Amino acid sequence: MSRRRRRRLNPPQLIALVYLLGIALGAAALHLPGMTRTGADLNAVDLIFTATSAICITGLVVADTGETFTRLGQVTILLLAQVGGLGIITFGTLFALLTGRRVNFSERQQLAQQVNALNVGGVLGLLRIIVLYTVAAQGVGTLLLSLRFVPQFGLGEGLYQSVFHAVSAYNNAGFVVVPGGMLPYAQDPLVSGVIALLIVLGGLGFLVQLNVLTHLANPRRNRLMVYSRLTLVTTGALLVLGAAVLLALEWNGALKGLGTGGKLLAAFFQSVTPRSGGFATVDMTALAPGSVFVMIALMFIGANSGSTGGGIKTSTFAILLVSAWNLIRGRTELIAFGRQIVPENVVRAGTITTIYTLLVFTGFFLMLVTNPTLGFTPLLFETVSAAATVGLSLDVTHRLNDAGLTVLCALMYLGRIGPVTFALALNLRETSRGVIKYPPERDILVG
Amino acid sequence: MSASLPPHAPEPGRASRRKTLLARLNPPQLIALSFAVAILIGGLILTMPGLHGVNEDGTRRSVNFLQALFTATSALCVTGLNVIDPSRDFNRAGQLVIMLLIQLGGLGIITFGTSFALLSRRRVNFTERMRVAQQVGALNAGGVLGLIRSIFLYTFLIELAGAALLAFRFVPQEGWGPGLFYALFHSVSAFNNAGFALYSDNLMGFVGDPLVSMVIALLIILGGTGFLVQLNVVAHLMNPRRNRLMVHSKLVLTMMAALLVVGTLGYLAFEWSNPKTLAPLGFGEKLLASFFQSVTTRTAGFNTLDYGAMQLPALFMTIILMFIGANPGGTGGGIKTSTFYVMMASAWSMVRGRRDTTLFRRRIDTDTILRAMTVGLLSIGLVNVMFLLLLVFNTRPDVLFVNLFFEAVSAFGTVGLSMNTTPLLNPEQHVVLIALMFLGRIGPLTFAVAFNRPDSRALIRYPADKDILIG
Repeated sequence: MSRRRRRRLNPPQLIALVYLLGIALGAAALHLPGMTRTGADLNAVDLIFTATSAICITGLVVADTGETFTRLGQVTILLLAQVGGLGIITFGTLFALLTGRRVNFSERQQLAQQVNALNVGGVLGLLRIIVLYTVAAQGVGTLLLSLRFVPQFGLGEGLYQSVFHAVSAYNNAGFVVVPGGMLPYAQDPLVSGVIALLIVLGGLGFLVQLNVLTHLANPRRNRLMVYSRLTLVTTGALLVLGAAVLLALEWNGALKGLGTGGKLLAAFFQSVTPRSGGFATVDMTALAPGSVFVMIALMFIGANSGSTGGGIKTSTFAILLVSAWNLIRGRTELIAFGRQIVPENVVRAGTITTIYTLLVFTGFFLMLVTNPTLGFTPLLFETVSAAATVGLSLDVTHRLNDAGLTVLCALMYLGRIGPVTFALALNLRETSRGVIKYPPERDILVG
Repeated sequence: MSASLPPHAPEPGRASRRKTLLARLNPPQLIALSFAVAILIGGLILTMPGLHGVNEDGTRRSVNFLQALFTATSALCVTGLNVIDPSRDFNRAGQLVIMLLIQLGGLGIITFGTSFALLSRRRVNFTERMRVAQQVGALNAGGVLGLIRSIFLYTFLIELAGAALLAFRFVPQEGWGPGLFYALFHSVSAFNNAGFALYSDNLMGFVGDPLVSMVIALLIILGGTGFLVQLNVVAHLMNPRRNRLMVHSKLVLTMMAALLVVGTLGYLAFEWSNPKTLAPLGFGEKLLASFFQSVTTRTAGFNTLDYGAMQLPALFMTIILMFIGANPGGTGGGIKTSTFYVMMASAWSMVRGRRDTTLFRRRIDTDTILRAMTVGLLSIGLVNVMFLLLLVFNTRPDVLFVNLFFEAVSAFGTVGLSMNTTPLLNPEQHVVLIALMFLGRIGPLTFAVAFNRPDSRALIRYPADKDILIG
């Protein structure tokens, strides 16, 4: 018995632990003096909630970030969001590249080639390239945003606002510190457009962006992966469809005060933000019930795997949709972009959706029990927003009691690392995973 | 045993092709068509003024075509949602027509569901099929017609027994003629999980009445258990060694019991102190009322408490229970208990990192899981799309998100419970609800058989279990 068996953490356990640690450290940091403005009354649950919201890049807040936290506190929140975002991109990419569960062999080689072409060596190298790429994207976003914010707020304050919102948008965090919120920028094509672009880029994920960039650089050598095509088409379709539905439902409603161009811009922005940015240039509480439902559905679907967005993921949704369509057409084989989707993937997509639905419903049920007076719709909205790490709000989060906030914390955490990952992390026994050789068609990321 | 429809064989000659036009419909299309035709005819019949009730001043109450169509759909799909008040807007003859429509719809769905299970190769494996066929044979039946005859016989027997018991309450209360009619009507309505009642407040007057509550609850459970399962149980009880309980029977009976207990405890806990529902009742009555509401969510639609006065946790629980519904092969709706179980079990095995989903020492095969996923997720999609339509068409500010969600799931699950919202809705929304009742009735059954994938995988694993009915 002298031989000490060192327990090595498996990747799911590592993720679950790292994020838990991040929440604890973040809450402790925010508790330090000088983080909150005088007069701000935040208890421990509020601080844990804020830290969870930041590191899980959600953006739900118990109090206005700009008014409650000092500059130092705001920067801390931003750093937490940046770390949370980089962490999930790195973990997601590593999973896809190394485990082989999600991308098939030839695609993996292709990807590895593309990454190699950028002089990557090992995990640290990958992390470096991801950090570089992220900082570059955020830098361009900052420059563009400063064209508006510097004239508006002066050089120092304007640059700060630009950096904060570029980072917040690329990480799909949704924290806002600009005085008066984002509503005044509903008709501003520069701010709305840049933030929407950053949200979309962040939500596409590193792999897809890398694939697209290398494809554009050398179309013959680097082909677009099936996964990239599937998620790009789904993302595009959801953006257009969401904007069209919101335009139709809110033309004389929440969009009424805006000009035609402003209406289009605001509808597009509101269609981008549920996937899962969390910024709002239209007052969510002014939306008609139909639009609220559409927002909930878009939040639930979310962004791409391995990105800073949440939800069941576009690929999961696409597989379900393709399956349903084939079923209606009476076809037995599920085909997407000339490739067959194997039944195991459909089962996987279905299972993930089932688990997510279960998570959301359980959370919603607990919210109803703990805060029965706040109403059905707002509680459902906040629940989905938390589980999909979006951060949109029907303005009831600050009215929740501590039990309700705790439920949302748990949802943000589980929604961020993924309920399946969390469960696998709890699974201490070794299972048969890794023994089975999968057939070569499993080339679609699910979850 | 090849009584199922022949595969698409090339038909020579024009005459024979025309002859087989109806026969060339696949079973799901046949079901959909027959229900649609029956609904249309039922709606036309219920439009006839001679069936409508009479006011105190002698004027006839009017029921327009849309209202009649809604009532016919609700009756044939054994739902129980109402835009009119069947106790006042229809006279005795009209109520009789509604009862017959309920009976027709219920028998139709039992027969279709059972035939699917027995005849389609995909759903019950060969030995199970033989065993069930033997059990049907034990009741002196042969072939499809014999099966249908035994289903009819069994249905009428139970309904008559139920009516006889209910007569003990209704005859003293309403007099001989109306009392017997009331007993029969409510018995038929309960066994077929329809939920139509001849009182304006449904059965709220019987909240503390153990006789009516328990008889109705029992009829709902019998109707929702499914014909094959009951046959299996009866045969098993008569000769345990020769007739074993099928895995499917064990599963759905366990699920049904579990859901009943959970629902009862849920209503007790969430409504205990609600002054508009459970608070004024004594302990025994609280228990009885909670049990009854729990039973009625699978998916009858009678109510002895006011759902419009319930609080959000109880309402949300009701929505979930209604969506899950009853057992396949019975008169109940929803995605069905077995579908729900397979979805949950599959999710659980994924969460635990297991490759296979097991049940009673059998592996649930991928086809079954796929079918369950298909039924469950398509149903969620269907409810959500229809719910969005209800929201978009909504014109009344006092009709809330939760009200419409509740009515949508109630219509889909062919339950018939209502937060008293349905009569307030506009014609567009009524059309949506009609569509949802129709699709909710035939949908899950159809989704389940639509996915017929040839078995091409030849991996050797544990023996697969394909005999769980889904949908």
